[in-house]
Amino acid sequence: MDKNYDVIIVGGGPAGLYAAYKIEKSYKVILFEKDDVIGEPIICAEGISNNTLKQFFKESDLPFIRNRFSKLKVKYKDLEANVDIPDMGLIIDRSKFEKYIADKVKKENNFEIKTGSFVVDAKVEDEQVKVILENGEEYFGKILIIADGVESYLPNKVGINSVCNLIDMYSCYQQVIHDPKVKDEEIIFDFTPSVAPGGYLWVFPRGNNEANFGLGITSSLDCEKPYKLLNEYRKKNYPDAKILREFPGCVSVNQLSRMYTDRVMVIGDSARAADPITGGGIDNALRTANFAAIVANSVLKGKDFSAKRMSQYQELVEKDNSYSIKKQNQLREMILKMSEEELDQFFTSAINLFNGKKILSTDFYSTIYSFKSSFKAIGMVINFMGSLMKDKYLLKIIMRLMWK
Amino acid sequence: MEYIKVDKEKCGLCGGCVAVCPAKVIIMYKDRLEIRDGCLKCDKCIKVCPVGALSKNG
Ligand SMILES: Cc1cc2nc3c(=O)[nH]c(=O)nc-3n(C[C@H](O)[C@H](O)[C@H](O)COP(=O)(O)OP(=O)(O)OC[C@H]3O[C@@H](n4cnc5c(N)ncnc54)[C@H](O)[C@@H]3O)c2cc1C
Ligand code: SF4
Ligand code: SF4
Repeated sequence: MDKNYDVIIVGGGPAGLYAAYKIEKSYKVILFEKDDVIGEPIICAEGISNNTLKQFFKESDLPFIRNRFSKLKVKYKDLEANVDIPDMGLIIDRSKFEKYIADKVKKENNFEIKTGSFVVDAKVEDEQVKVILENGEEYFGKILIIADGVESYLPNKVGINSVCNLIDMYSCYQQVIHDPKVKDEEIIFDFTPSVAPGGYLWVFPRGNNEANFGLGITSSLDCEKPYKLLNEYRKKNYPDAKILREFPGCVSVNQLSRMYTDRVMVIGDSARAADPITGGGIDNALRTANFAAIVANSVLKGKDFSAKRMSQYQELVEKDNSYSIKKQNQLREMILKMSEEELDQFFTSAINLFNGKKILSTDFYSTIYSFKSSFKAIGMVINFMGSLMKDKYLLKIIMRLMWK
Repeated sequence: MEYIKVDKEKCGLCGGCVAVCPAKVIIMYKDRLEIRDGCLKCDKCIKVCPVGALSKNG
């Protein structure tokens, strides 16, 4: 059997699958996934914005949508903001979602997806890249796309350091619950520090009074483990909830400073591409995958596979980033450094803004001394909202309101 | 004896410990974790685990 390919992709999550989908059919492509079935098991709250889906999938009928919500609730201590966000948010069935893309990869592109195939090593050689499976089999490619998810084991094998700092990690726990108290049309974020230190609690409605109910904390903080914190909150706020499934999860942020090397591109969670504030990573998995595919399609037409040539991938990622992942990460770092008083101020402003109230730039002079200017502080609140809403149009309206 | 021990009942194979391990000695197969030689005893994996599935041996 010929084991030479144009592109080898490791990881069959949203990033790896979408990259495969976007590579030109004329190339020979193989994707390795260690689990036996694409789309199982799933560790995710399954929230995504409508805009993102429209951007990456042109079909009008998408068979993996669980529920559409129209209201956003943001909580902080006793404060809460309620915003109408018609037609903006969705909860998907991620298992169906992944199977949907995998189907296209196989049927439309005719590429091979090999499940039950754990890649244990990768090596960049002069004329090719080599990957080695658990059973010892070797495969060769002109280009390697690494999409091995949060665990991100392979980048280090090819000289890209992807070890994640504790401070750049959210440790999470999620339960799928059923409770009549869950409102199908409303998505909830609770940023109260005692509920989820350095993170937030989420209630993402799946329809039929079911929700993906979970929380994430910043992993470097000294506090109770996420599963304990979540159970405490559930007993208080959803005492009658039935738990249908539960599992731990981890989300890494702070995008890699270098996402490529000779013949290699790293995409999705493996590149730490998730949104630093929300930990939402499906959309940036698709985004980075799309760029990697564009670059692969063009690089394969020539003979230059050098790091310099591959760096075009990172340029595209950095140029595009609608909500500048670097700024979001700076914001996250600042929030982590804030005192309780500063947090109160920050979230009060954000919640007022969400509620459509004007905030004055002088609101920031009083207590937030760590910000260099009130202008910057307001920019940060807006960035924060951008993370939650993923909708430029709505943000523009809010900004206009603010500057009045 | 290995420095880190895994409670298989608790571990949900989420990959967090693999991500933060600076020595890259934790391998996550589809159905189990394996900890190889070369552990730096930094305790980061214990800290990141959302369910407390990792602990020090002994
Ligand atoms: C609790 C939780 C809730 C979340 N909620 C949301 C949300 O609501 N919205 C959102 O946008 N994002 C959410 N995320 C983040 C989102 O799940 C990730 O950003 C997304 O899965 C990234 O996709 P990926 O393809 O990069 O990685 P993954 O989905 O992790 O896919 C990686 C794949 O590679 C395979 N693999 C790994 N190593 C190897 C190997 N060596 N050989 C072969 N195969 C391998 C894995 O089995 C896996 O299938 C959440 C994350 C968690 C933990
Ligand atoms: S203690 Fe540190 S080096 Fe050892 S397995 Fe855990 S994270 Fe890796
Ligand atoms: S962090 Fe904990 S639950 Fe996740 S894979 Fe490691 S031991 Fe298992």
